[in-house]
Amino acid sequence: MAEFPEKELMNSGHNACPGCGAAHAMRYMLKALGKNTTVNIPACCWAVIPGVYPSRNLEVPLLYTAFETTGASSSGIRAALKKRDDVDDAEVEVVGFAGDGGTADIGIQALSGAIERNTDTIQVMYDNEAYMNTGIQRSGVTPEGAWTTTTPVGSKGDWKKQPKKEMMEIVESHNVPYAATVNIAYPDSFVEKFKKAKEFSGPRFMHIYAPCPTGWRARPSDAVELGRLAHKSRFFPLFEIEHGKYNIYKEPKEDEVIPVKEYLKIQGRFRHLPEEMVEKIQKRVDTKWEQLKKKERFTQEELYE
Amino acid sequence: MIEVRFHGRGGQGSVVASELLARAAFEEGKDVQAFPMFGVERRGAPVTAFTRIDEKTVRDHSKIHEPDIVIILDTALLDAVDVTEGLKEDGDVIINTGKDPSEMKIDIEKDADVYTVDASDIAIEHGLGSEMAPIVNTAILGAVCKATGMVDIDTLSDVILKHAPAKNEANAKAAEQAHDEIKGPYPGKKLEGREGQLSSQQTDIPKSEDLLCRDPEDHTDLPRTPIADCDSEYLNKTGSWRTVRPIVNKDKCINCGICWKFCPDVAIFVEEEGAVVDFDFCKGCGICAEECPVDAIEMDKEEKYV
Repeated sequence: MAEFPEKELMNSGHNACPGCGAAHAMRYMLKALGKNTTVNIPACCWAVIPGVYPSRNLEVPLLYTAFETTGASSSGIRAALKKRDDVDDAEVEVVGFAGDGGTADIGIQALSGAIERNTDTIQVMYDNEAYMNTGIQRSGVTPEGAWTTTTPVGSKGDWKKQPKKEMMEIVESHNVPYAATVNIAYPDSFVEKFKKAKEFSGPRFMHIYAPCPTGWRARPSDAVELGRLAHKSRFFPLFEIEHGKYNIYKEPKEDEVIPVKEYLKIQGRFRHLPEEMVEKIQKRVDTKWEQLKKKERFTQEELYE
Repeated sequence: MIEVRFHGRGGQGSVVASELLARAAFEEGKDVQAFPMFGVERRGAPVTAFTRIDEKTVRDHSKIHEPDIVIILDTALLDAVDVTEGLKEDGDVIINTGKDPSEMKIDIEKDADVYTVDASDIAIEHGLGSEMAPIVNTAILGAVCKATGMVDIDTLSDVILKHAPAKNEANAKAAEQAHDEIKGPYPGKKLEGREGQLSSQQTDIPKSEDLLCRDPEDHTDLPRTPIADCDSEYLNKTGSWRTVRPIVNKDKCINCGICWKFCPDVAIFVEEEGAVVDFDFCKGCGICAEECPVDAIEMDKEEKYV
């Protein structure tokens, strides 16, 4: 396993809530990518976390962009770096760091365009499963059954009805050289996968699972535990796609797997769910897992041998 | 006119408290204003809210600079914020703490008074919020009624029953209990109402030149962009957000560095003698205590260390 880098490129004194998973995400990402990185951030929690001028907590160049333009901005930054004589653009990693809304809903056109144009960039979706910065509104990536302020729970059970949008599948269908899911509860493999992404050139996509204790109505101290439970229950599987080949990593052993219920029950946003709904979620998680296993087998053995 | 300033944290209900107080005064026929002031900070960050009450129409719409009453929902703020800034000479300070008013080290003029009430305990007793983050806003309002006499406790109870966002009855009971349990005043004027003050002249509105810095020398040099330096470690001491703090048991600590790895605020480091917390920045999320493999870290109430 790769050595865990000590150098901090994200500093203290930021405005994230106590126990913020997105803060973990940025910290580990910069540790892996190093100081030759530019970050562009659209409207999202991270637009606020670095601080109000003149305070900021990132040791790397930082560009704020409009909500829907992360992908396009990355393309622009890459093009500008290529033009400059004083910078060796091959040495610089261009990162678009957007939340789930800014990636999967509002920013999906720009993301798709940037990937299709083969921009040399890492597009990051730190997934806290709702528009947390503006006050916990549902996004396309909010999981089924969750309470948010725009899917309030009343007597009729008006929680979110639609399942979580599968961003990895959407990105995979663009034929990216590398895409991976990572989880802040496993910093070592998080850093390892980002270092691996750095080895590739062209568009790369990283889906970070970043628990949000504030929006998920959980205790701040449980932020890391939430990530761990999501992984052990297979709610958020860890896998990478390398030129179309799926590879599940850190797969929980059969005896380690826990029911999804264990993950749901420590979060206030799922507190209202009736038993049959929990079973439905469990069933969907099981199906998704089966699909993933089959994709892994198919792409590794049948398709390529 | 009576001007009230609330000091709390995001999530404690300071804004709702300022509104409930204004509503109660309105029910008694007064003219009122209630408004909050906050930046982009998150749950746990210091928040200020204001209430204005007068017999006649309130025409001053500016921020309150010289409050008659300051209400502090969290003693941890005493270190972080200048809570008595601009407080009138004969003002009142009402603090949520289990301590006696005489024990509070607060910088006030000689005619000002300090009151205390353990609103956190009362809130927990009535099931308002959690042990770590009790919602104390309604309880402290009960104490405010008693200390200042500007609103009747029965009116306040009614308003809480009608307008509190949740758990209305528990909130009203908490207010009544705090009304009975308030300690003070210290140094010791007798409890006297503020009714007489309601029709007094409005305070001068500060002129804009007092508030703006027009002199170029006041400004710092702009940094070059793209931004490559950072100053957050000097400018944004987030330690003031904390309501609980991690205490490291150095005998148990095995220097494994897991707490450092999982700290979202980069506020805990492993030295030779064990883990050391940077209290300037620790927000007290408790992840280190949760993740420590040998249970060497415990979370303790911040109030004890202020």
